[in-house]
Amino acid sequence: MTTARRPLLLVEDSDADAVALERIARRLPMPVPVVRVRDGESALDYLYQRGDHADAPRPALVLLDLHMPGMSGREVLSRLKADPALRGIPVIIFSSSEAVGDVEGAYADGANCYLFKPEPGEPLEATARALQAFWFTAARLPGERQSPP
Amino acid sequence: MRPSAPELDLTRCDREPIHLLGGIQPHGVLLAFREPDLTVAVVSANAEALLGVSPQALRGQPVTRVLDADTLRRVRAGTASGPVRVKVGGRACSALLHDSDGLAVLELEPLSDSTAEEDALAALHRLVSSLSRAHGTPALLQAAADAVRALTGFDRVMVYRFHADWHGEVLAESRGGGVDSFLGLHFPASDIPVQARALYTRNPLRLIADVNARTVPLEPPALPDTGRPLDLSGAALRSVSEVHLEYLRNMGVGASFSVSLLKDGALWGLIACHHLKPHAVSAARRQACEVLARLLSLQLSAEERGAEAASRARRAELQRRLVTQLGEGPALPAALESHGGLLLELTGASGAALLLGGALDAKGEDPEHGDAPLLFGKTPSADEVRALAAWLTLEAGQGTTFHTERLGALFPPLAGRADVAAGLLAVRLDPEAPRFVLWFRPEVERTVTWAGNPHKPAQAEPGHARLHPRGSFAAWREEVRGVSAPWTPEDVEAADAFRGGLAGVVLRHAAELARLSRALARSNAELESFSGTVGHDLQEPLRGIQQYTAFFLEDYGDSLQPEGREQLQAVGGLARRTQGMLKNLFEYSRVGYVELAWGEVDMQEVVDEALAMISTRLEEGRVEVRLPRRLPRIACDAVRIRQVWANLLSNAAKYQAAEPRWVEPGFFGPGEPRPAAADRFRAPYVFFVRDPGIGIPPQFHESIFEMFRRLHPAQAYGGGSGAGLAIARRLVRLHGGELWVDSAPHQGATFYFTLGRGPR
Repeated sequence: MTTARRPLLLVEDSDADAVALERIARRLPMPVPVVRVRDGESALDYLYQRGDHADAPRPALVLLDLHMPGMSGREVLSRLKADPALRGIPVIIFSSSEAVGDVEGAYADGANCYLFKPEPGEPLEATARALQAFWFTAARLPGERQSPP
Repeated sequence: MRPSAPELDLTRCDREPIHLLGGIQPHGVLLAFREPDLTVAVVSANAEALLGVSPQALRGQPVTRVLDADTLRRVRAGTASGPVRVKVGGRACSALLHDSDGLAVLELEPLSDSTAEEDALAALHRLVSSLSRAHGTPALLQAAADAVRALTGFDRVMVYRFHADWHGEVLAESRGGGVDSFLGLHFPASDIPVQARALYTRNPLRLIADVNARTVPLEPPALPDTGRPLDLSGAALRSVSEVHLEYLRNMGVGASFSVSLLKDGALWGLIACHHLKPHAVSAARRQACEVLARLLSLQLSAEERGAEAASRARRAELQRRLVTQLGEGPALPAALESHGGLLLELTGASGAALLLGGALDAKGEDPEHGDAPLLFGKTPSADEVRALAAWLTLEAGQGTTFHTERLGALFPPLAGRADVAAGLLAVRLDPEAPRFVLWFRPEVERTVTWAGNPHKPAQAEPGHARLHPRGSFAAWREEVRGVSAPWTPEDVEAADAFRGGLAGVVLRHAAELARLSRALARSNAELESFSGTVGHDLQEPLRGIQQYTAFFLEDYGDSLQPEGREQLQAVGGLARRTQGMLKNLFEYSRVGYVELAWGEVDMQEVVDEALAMISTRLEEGRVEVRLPRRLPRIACDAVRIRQVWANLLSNAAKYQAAEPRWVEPGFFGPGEPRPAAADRFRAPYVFFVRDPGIGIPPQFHESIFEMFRRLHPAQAYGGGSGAGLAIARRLVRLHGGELWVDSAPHQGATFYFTLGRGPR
C-alpha cells in the first residue's frame, strides 16, 4: 500500500453532512483521505487542478451531492463524464433526493452509483460503512497499483 | 308568401278577375264610346234612370246625345285633374273620363244638394295644414286618419300598413261613437289578395257606397273586339267581388272607401274607411283624399328615411356600447351576460346565443364536445343550439351572415321550437369552427294580435261552393305557423356590424389571455423555484439539527441526565419529521411540472417492478400478492405509473389488520362488466388495487387524497406522511386520468384509476 493514496473528493455544500461524514470516516478504517469542497465550481477546479487546487491529486472517487447552490451536481457529473481524461473516475451520487427523475437522470448522465443520503445517526453510519466496504474493499478502483488488502 | 297545397281554395281568391266583373255600382252611370265618331259601345243598365234614355237606345248613338260636344271637351280637358261638374238631363253630376280597351269611358255620378256647394279644395287646405303640423310617423298617420274622416264622414278611418309578407297592421284610427276599434290589429295577407293589391297600385281610390247594393250589369256584357267584359280597372264605379262584399258584410260594414298609400311607386298601405250604413262620397272629395294620400306618402317616405337613419344610428350606438363594455369587461362571457339586453335590442330578437369557442370560454369546456353556448332571453336549449351551430357550420354556406324566417323548415330538429326559434339570424365568427352569434325570434303568430274577426265570425254554409273570407282565416293561421317576423336589411346589417366589433373584442381578449398566461408562466416558474427552495434548502438545516443533536448525544450523552437525553432525542425526531414533510411537499410540487414520457407500456412489467420496490414491506407484513390475470399493454409514462402502483400497493399492504393479508392488482378491459364503483369515470381500461383491510369510512373517500391528510396516528400501520395518495392522484391526473376509492370500514378498499388518451 502506498502512503500517498488518491483521495476521496467529497462535493457537499452542507456543513452538517460533511462533518458527519468526516466524523464517520475517522471511526471507520477509511483507507483514503477525504477532501471536501463546497460547490460544483470548486469540484471542477479540483479535478482540473485550477486556482486554489493547482496541486490537487487526481481523486480515486467522487462523492457528489446533487442539489447545491450554483452549479448543480448533475452539471458537474455531465462535465466529468464528457471528458475522456476524467470519465474513468467513479462518481457516487450522494443525495437526499428520492425523486425518480433525479435517480434516473443521474444514471443517464453516467453516475456509477446513486446513494440515498439516509437519516443522520445510525442509518448514515450504516451507509458509510457499506460504501467503504464496497468501494474500498470489494471494488477495484482505477489507477491503483496494488491489489486491495 | 305562397300558400301551400292544402290551402288551394285560397288561391281562387287570388285568381278572381276582379277588374273584369262586368258591372258597376248603382250610384252612377257608365258610358263607353268609340273615338273619333263618339259612338256609344257600352252602357250600364241603369242609364235610363239618370239620362232618360234606355241603354238600347243609346248604343250605336253618339255620346253627344247625353253630353254636348262643348261639355265633353270640358270634361276631357278637366278630368286629368279631377271630376268635372256637368249637367246631365237637368241634374248636377260629376263626370270622370278615362280610356280602357280602346274606348273612352265616361262615368257620371249625380251630386246631391248637400254636396253641390262643397268646396273640396278648401277642405283639402285645412287637412294639409293639419298634416304639416304633425311630427313623427304616428302623429302624421293620426292626422291623416282624422282628416279623411272629416272630409268623407266615414264612421271609422284606419291607416293600414302592409308588412313585408303583405299582412297588414292598423297603425292609426279615427272613429265615431258606436264603432269598434281595429287599432293595433293585424290582418292576414290573404285578406287583400294579390290582384286587389295590384289594382290598388294602379287605381288608388275605391268606393263601395253600399255593400248590399245590386251590381248594375253593362250592356253588352262582353266587348265584340275582345270577347270579354270591359276592363274596369280605372273606373271609379267598378263593382266589387262578391267575396269582398261578404268580407265587409261579415265585419258589419255598410260602405267602404280606400285610398292607396304608395311609397316609391310601391304599395305601402291603405287609408281604409268603413261606414256602418251605406255612404256615398262625392268624386271631388274622393279626389281630395287622393291628393291627401299623395302628400302623406311623400311625408311618410321622408319620415321613414329619417326613422331608418335614426334606427341605424341607434343600432350603431348599441353596438358601440356593447363592444366598449365587452372590451373593458374582465372576461367576455361575464361581460356578455350583463349586457344580454343590448345584444337582443341590436337586432330586435327575443333570444340570442353566443358560441365563442374554448379559447374564450372561462368555464373550460372540453373542446372536443363543443362549448357551452352563452344564452340570453328566449332560446332553444344549449344542446339544441349546439346542434344548430353544427348544422350551420356545414349547411349555411360560406357567407358571414345567414337568416331565415322559417328555421323549422330548414332545420327540422327545431321545427317544434317555433315558440322561441322560428326565425334565425346568424353571424359566423370563424370559417372553420362552429363559432357563431345567433339571434332568435318566435313565430309571428304568437307576437301579434290577429284580427280574428271578433265581431261577426264566419258562418258555415254547407253546400255553398263560394269562398268565405273569414273562413279562410283559420287556414291562413295554419300557414303562418312556424314563421317569424322577417329580418330587415337593417337587422342583418346590425348583426354583421356587431360581428366586426366582436372580432375586435375577441382579439383584445385573446391578447389579454396571452398576457395572463405569460404572467402565469412567470409565477409558475417563481413557485417552482420557491418550492425548490423549501424542498431542498430548508431540508439542509433540518438535517443539520439532526446531525448535531446526534453528535452531541454521542459525545456528551453520558454526562446528561436521562431526561436531557430524551429531550435532545425529541429535538432530533421533530427535525426528522419536519424534514420528511418538506421532502414530500417538494416531491408533490414537482409532480406538477413533470413532462410525461409517454410510451406503449406493458403494465404487467410495471406492476412487477412496483411489487419488487415494496417487496420488503410485503414480506415483513406477510402480505400475499394475488394476480389473477396478466395486465394489458397501455400508453402511459411507465416510471410515473410504477410510482402510482407502488404507492397503492404499499398502502394496501400497510392498512391491514388480521391475516390472511393480501393485495390484488387488476383491471377491467373495454366492454368487460365492471361494478358501478369502477365505472365512476369512464375509460376503456380501469385499473385497481384491492385489499381486504381495515377500510375507509365514506366521509373520508375524498379527503384521503389531500396532502398530509392522515386518518391514523403517525405511528400506526407503519407510519406514513399522508403525501403518497396526493402524489399518486396528481400523477394519474397528469396522465388525464382519475384516481378514486371505493371502500367501507372493515370491508377492505379498492383504489381505481384510469389513464388518459395519451399525449395531446
